[in-house]
Amino acid sequence: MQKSIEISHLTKKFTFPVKNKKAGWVKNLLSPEKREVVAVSDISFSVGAGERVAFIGPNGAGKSTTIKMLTGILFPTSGTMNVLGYDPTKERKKLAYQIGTVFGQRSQLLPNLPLTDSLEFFGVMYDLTDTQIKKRVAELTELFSLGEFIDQPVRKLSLGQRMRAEVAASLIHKPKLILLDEPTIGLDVVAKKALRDLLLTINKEEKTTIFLTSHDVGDIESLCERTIIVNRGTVIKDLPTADLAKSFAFEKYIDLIPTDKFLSFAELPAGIRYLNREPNKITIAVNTDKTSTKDALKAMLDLYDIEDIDVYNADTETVIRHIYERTASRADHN
Amino acid sequence: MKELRLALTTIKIRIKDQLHYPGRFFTDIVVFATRCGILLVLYWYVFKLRGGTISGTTFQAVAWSMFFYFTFMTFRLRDISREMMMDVQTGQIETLMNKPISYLSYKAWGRIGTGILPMLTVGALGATALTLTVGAPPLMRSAAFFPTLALVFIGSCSLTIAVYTIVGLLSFWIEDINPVFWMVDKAVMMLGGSYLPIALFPSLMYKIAVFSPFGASQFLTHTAYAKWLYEWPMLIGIQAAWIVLLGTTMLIMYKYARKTVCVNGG
Amino acid sequence: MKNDLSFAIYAIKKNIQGSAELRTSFLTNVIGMMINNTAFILLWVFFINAVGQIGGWTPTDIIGLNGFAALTYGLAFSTFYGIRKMPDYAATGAFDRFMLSPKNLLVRVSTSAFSTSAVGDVLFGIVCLGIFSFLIHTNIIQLALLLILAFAACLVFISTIIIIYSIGFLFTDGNNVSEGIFQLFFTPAMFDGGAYQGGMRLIFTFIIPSLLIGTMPIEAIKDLSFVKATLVVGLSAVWFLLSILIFNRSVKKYESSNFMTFGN
Repeated sequence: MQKSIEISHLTKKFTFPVKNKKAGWVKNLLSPEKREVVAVSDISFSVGAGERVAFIGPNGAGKSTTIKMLTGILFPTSGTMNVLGYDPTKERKKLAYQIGTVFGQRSQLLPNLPLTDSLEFFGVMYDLTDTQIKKRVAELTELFSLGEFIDQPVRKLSLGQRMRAEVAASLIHKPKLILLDEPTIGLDVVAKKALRDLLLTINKEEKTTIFLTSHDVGDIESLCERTIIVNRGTVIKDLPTADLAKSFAFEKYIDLIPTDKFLSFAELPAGIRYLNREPNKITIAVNTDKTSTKDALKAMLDLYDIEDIDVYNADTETVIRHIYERTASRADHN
Repeated sequence: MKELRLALTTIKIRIKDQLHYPGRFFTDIVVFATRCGILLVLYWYVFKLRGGTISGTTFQAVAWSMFFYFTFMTFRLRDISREMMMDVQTGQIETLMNKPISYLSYKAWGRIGTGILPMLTVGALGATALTLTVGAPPLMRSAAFFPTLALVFIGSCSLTIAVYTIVGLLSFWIEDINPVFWMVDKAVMMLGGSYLPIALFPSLMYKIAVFSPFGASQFLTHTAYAKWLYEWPMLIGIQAAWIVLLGTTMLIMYKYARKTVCVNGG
Repeated sequence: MKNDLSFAIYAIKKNIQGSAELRTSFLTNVIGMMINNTAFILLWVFFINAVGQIGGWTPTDIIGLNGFAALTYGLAFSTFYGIRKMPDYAATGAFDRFMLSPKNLLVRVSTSAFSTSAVGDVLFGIVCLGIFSFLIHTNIIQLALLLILAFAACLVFISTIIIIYSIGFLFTDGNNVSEGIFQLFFTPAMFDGGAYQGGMRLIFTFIIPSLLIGTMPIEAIKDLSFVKATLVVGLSAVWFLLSILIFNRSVKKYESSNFMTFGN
């Protein structure tokens, strides 16, 4: 498979001066102490053309820094990058013609003018002819349902409309790769679904590679077939999204519905704990490292008179949280 | 060709932005015209008290000189420094750096686009008003006047952009460039002949005005005086030299500035 | 009222502490501004050398004028810099948080920011007024007048900027408009006071209060003119009341924006 992104041993360190409270301000001014922060540490991965990849991690993990290096905004301290055949540090402009970017917390549109002006401007920026711009704007207007607000000044749009417009503008030149940094931040559930569906359509119809960072588990599950997890600047895991829950599920959850009511709650065997205790329902968590689901079920059936059972895995959000917490505690321990 | 198209589109978009909110546009014009008008009335009174000439200069020449200064000031090319500083401080620069455009030229064309309409409007109205009130100086009827005016205008724009872009680029290294901006801006204002017409400068100050890049960026104000007709080759030559030197400095600085970008977010 | 004032003092103190933390930046701003202002005095000295004295104004008077202008500018913008940021707050929707604050809105907004460089203006103003006082050999009455008129001039300045920057609520992106009108007010204030005669003097006293922040206080002090002093003090109260009225009216025009950083 042709590669869209290939990075090898990529590292980014930031240095900044730090005030030494024991030294005088003259010394702090002329010869300040420096602190180094390693934002990204020796990461390597590749992304194939047409793939949809989620690049996730807790705050400060190095996600945005990595994306900014891939787009040529930041220069790496060491390591190599190849994005669509270009080195972003040397061929930023040529690469820019091939990529689209959406930053959830920063707008690229012209705030005071109607959306049409922003789209036209982007078209000219990417060297499209007037005819191409017109055609592409019509396509994007239909695809993203921009027609209802395309003539309004951008600053008057709702957040959901604005994000649709941002994504549309980033696709004006039919880029091969689109990088999105938290594109659904602040959107309601309906707007999120609409945006995800649009991205899926773009990926399917135009074979655009999607590389996305997000804290929203829904974005990851519905949009991305592959997930790369980073924490403290390093890649922890790189696996298909579908395997995420399976790989790290050391807990099973069981909902128990009584025949009548639960009048009292017995002590549970090792490896099982209550998550919820109500007269009409009990939820337990089974630590599958300590006991099997089968044994846990047997134990519960012995303890209670049960009419119905529901056994399920941890949801993706819980899994991801566990991963972040595990790696954080491992790092602290080290 | 591509660069020209992008430049024209950027200018067009900025003009449209200005016109989209006509209230703001017209107030801008009125305020600038009034500022210039107030200073001219004050100087008219001063010249009247002194019998019409001061240091061999007439009010007519001074009026046109200050008018050129204020008209050029409506271009607001100096705001490129603050725009760049805000881009770096807010991190907005990242949205421009991943586009297939030169950040510096985009900023420059953007400033030109923002200021061109107010400048042309103030220029047209002001020139008409001045012609009707004080009359046009005889040198404006000379064949060399308008071509050299155009040349020095282009030179002034280029040099102003270079000077203020260098100040703006400092924000990649220094968090607050405002003190530097004020000092440069004050030097330009004083040596350009804003509050005190250049014709009234003491000789040392006049020399500094002619040979420094700050004064050279405002050579438009020299075109109102009779000696422009024989001084223009030297002055335009000085402008050109500073444009080459500061333009090169600007490009080198930008090359190093890009590598120091540090945008918030992890 | 007392609550709001004590909050204002507290907010100003916090702003100063915050700015002083960044010592290098603080010092470069202050020193930079003092150099900046010294250049202005030189300019006017050159002016008088070229043009001669006008309306009885000497270089000493120019020093005093620059002192008043710098002091009023510095005090207003150092302690109440939030006023200057009002058009920006309005454009970005940041005004919301002030409207939700349980404090007097104007006090809250004006003390929301602090300009370090304006401290340089204050210091410069004090030095200039000190030199002016020394050169004209002020007596005790003139000194008292100087203090009273400095207060009145500051009040005029603050009131005028409240009015000017409240205009930001009336325009989308009204920052440019407000800054332009501010220059319209402040530029004439720094011009040789002797050049203002007849109609110009009336306009810049009663319609645009530029002369109230420098020219008239200087003339009142050097000529010991209680008429001019009373005029300055009286008009300062009028402008203050007008500014409160205009601010409250303008705030009603505020339209909150969605949060998202925009650039050009």
